Amino acid sequence: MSYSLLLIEAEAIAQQELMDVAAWYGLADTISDMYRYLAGEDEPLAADGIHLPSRTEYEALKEQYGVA
Amino acid sequence: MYSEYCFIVLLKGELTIVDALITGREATPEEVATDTEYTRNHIYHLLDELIDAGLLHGTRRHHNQRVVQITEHPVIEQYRMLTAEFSHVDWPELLTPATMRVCWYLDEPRRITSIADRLEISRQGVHKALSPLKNRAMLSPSGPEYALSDSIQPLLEFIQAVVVHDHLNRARNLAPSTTVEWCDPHRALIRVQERQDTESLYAAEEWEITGLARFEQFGLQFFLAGEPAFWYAPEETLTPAEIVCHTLPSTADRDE
Repeated sequence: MSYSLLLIEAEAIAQQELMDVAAWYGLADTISDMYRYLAGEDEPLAADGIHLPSRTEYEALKEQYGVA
Repeated sequence: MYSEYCFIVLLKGELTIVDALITGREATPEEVATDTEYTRNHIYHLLDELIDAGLLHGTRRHHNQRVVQITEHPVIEQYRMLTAEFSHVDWPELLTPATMRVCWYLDEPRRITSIADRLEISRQGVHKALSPLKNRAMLSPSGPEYALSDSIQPLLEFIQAVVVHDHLNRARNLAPSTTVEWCDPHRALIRVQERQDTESLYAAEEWEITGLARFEQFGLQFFLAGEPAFWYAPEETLTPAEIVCHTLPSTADRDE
């Protein structure tokens, strides 16, 4: 999950583009949660197999891989 | 526009033969030719294709006479259930590749435009593919959306079995340890267990590495446990958005 968040940010993938693709995979809700997380709106969730990283963990990962 | 080679092993001829043998009986090619009214040469060609696909097996009887019989393959089992429940329908006539491709998407209510875009065909093409089902009241339209009627669920399960089989058959020719994680009629996300299968797919033009292993392309390199995932959609460009979807763990919980 953390790595997917990194790629979204690194490639600046537009939410609507990713939502359109994710719908075919049944991942629309997951992607929606991920963008809310990236927007700082939600605390990490642990429901339905979604395990978003803690803010601290994710910031450390971004720094490690040089993702702004 | 997608070409026919992406899909499907079960065209009308193959399905007609499966139909003729669905009771499980053994038959000689000559008997199958008589039952189906196909020429002997055509029958031999179709039987070989079905045997190669694992849907029939061939043996020799006394006097070295060749006989064929359907297998217990999931595609055959799903077709048996479909024909048992809807024996009055001429399925080989009704199930064109186009109809099967469109039906794949009717597991939930969808707009015609959405299906047309996904299959890269016209809306008229979708309507035409669905017309045999409309005429038999197998669709349940809801506003601008269509889905298969609940009563025709065996058709959806048969088509899903055919599509998965089609992708597995293609992938396992190169990589015997393949499992399908997700697919639709023109796209497949697969995993393999063996290193040599990874090498085979890596060398094949129509397969691309995806998932976490593909992040390297974007300057993000991670430790990869096990073999990478591979993506089949030879007429499309693999986008970062697709790669994200191929990386999320819940992908593995869907379909095969």
